[in-house]
Amino acid sequence: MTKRTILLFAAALLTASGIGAAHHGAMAADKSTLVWADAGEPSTIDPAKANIDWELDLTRNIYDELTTYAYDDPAKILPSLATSWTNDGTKWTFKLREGVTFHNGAPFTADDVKATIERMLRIGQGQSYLIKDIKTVTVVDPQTVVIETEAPNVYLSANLSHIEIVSAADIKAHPGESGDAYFADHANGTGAYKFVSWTRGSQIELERNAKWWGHFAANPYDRILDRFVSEAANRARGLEGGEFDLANYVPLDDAIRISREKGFHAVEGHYLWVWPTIYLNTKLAPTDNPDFRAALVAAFNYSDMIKFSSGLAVTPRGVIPEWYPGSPEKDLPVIKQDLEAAKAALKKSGISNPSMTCVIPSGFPAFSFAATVLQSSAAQIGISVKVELAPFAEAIDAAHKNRSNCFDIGNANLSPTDVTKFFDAHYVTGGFYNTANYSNPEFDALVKKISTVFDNKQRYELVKKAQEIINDAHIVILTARPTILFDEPDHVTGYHVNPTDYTGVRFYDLGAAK
Amino acid sequence: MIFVAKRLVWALVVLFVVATLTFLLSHVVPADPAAFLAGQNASAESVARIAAKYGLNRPLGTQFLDYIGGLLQGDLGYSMRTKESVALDLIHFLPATLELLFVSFVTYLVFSFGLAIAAVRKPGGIIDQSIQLGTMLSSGIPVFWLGMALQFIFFYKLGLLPLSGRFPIRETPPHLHSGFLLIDSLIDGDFRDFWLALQSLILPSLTIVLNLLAVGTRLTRASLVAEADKPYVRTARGKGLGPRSVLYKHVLRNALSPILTVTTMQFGYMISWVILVEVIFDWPGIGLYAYQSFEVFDYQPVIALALVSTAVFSLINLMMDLLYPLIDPRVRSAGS
Repeated sequence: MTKRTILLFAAALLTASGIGAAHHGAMAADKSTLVWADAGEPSTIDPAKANIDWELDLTRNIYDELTTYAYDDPAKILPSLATSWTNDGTKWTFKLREGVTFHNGAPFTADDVKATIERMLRIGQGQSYLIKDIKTVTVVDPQTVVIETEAPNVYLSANLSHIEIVSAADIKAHPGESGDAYFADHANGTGAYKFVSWTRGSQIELERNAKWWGHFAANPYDRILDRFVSEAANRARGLEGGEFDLANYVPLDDAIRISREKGFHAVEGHYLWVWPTIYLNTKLAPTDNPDFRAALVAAFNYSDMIKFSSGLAVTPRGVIPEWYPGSPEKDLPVIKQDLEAAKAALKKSGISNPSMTCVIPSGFPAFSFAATVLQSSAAQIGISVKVELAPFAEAIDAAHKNRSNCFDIGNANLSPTDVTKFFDAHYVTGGFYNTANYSNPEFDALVKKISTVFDNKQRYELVKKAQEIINDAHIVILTARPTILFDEPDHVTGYHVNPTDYTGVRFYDLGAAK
Repeated sequence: MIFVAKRLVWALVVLFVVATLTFLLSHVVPADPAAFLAGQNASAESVARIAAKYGLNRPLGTQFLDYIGGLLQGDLGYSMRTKESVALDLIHFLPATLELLFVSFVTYLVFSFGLAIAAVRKPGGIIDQSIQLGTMLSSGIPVFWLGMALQFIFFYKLGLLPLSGRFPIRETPPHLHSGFLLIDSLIDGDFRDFWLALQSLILPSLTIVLNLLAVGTRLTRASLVAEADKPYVRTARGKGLGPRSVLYKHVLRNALSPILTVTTMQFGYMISWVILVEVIFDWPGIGLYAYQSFEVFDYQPVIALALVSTAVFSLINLMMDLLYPLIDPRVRSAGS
């Protein structure tokens, strides 16, 4: 019995190892398929609703936008489906590229632009906030479309670089709210890759659109497998072991280690996020006291956050990165820990024996760490901070409904040049991520005005003033701005960190190394 | 028959209690699923529209009555995350979970019986002690750590087995007939696919089994040892029956009742472990489905998971109760 069992077990292992070895060998030989491990499964691939990284990674490659931007200089807005454009006050005229077809062979025209924008504005989700001030879209002829905004908007052409164009015929065939469900798992774009299939719970398959009007990298991948890998450790291990060609959101310590391994190199890039940012609730005691908040901002140990990022981070002075077009960062004062100033601010607040509660979203090590740093920093000036971890939706609800003195998330923006989007969701009255519950009519009006000013210098002053208002209100602790370190195996070329997306990937930039 | 009918009625009562509790627990959590679903920067109108669409703006009591009413008609609700009915999602994801559970259960039975039998051949001997030590160690390791350690060894270091998922990524999985990849590959007559599917099952199954093995092996061993000491066994030996016949024909059969009870309980643990194991191994079953739904406060899949788990567990319990009289004449005669 024992001998037989051992023999059977050995035979099973040998068989498994034989097949396993064949499987690993096949992976190495397969240069036409790229496996991209992303951190989650999309809930939709509808460009009007896509909002999360692993949704945008697909929509950005299946569909095209009217404009695009240079990775090394996002201020350079480049032609995409639109070849040129002019602006006259509130009116923008776009000339569209000829000879472009959707994946089903239908030609791309101005009707598609009109139908897409009107649908996005009706739905009001996803990235519709980037174009929410569009008033009308008029088709002049099949290759010309006029977009009119409610007020002059200097950023419109840039913001359109993140609005994917859907076929008008598809929208007409699937109208209204009931028709919207169709786009959640069907896709017919003009983009570099075609949607092939979605195996629920496992992966989405794309195939290269050989008729795409744009340019592929050398040795492009014919097939993309977008694999859903929710465990970060699995993404790291799978990348190292060759199961995945590229993996998104590999934990930093793993990314540093992998980048030093043979067969890998590191791709570093700018990252939009100020991550994590701690928002201090202005409507709940004791953080409703501005001096108390000032004490917390001054007490925070920023250098701990830099250490947490293994030195691959800086302490921000404001929410807009210094490399972002129109950023006032260089003219803002340095933010650093100052315990004496913190003690003075606490004394000025008049609050004795202070304590506060922070409900922090769970599942994000950087958030938990930042909360711990806040706890220890605050303790140095006699403030007791109780930290509770809760699922994201519960934590943000606690902030909105004044059950938490602080909340932890990033401060991001998906527009290549529109600085106002750094402010809109997080600081303008009623913004979804305005977890400081901050409300300042002067600030709201200022943010609204910024995009209407076409003079760069004047606009710069307004942006700087808006940032100063945020800093002076002491409603956020901008703990760190990390750099992205992305591991690229030597058999893959062309990955760049997208400077105006969460991390993003352009599959058409990637190719197999020779 | 009356016994079975009574058990089925009780199972329905348990399902109702589970549905009520999970519904209440998931809804008392202070969160706004509509805002979460609408996403960052969504307009207030959009959030309100989503809340109205899914009935989230209605009083909790109304939502509960509607949900129970739907359940009675076989409607398990709708997933806001996948945009599908929960029943359809379960049809899609359940086979992966059942296949993992089935393979794990069979592996568990084989290992727990095999090791226990090997151990009782010479109680207290080196094999017995090694088995006891090994099973205790494996059960003492937390499941998530054990899963990751197995991945590290068998995928990363040895390159023998896939890291995660149900089928090697770059291979084309078999056509779906039943949803069970092992069966579907055999239906297609593709033995290579069968082995590929099986090797994806090895690590997740081992993670579940190794964790439960200590209790199973030790109890089976203890039952066998206790039974082997009884006078009828000595009589059988005295009559000249060989050790193999004594063990398999007499001792094992009479020791089965307590083993069956523990095996049923172990199956319950297996159902709960499978959720964690599916997350670790990105196994596309109902555990991962419910976990991802819970993350975005998509309640109805979570309740459905609780109901399905309870139903499967109740069913297994019932089957085991029906098995007792078959394997033990004493139960049969007591019943009659």
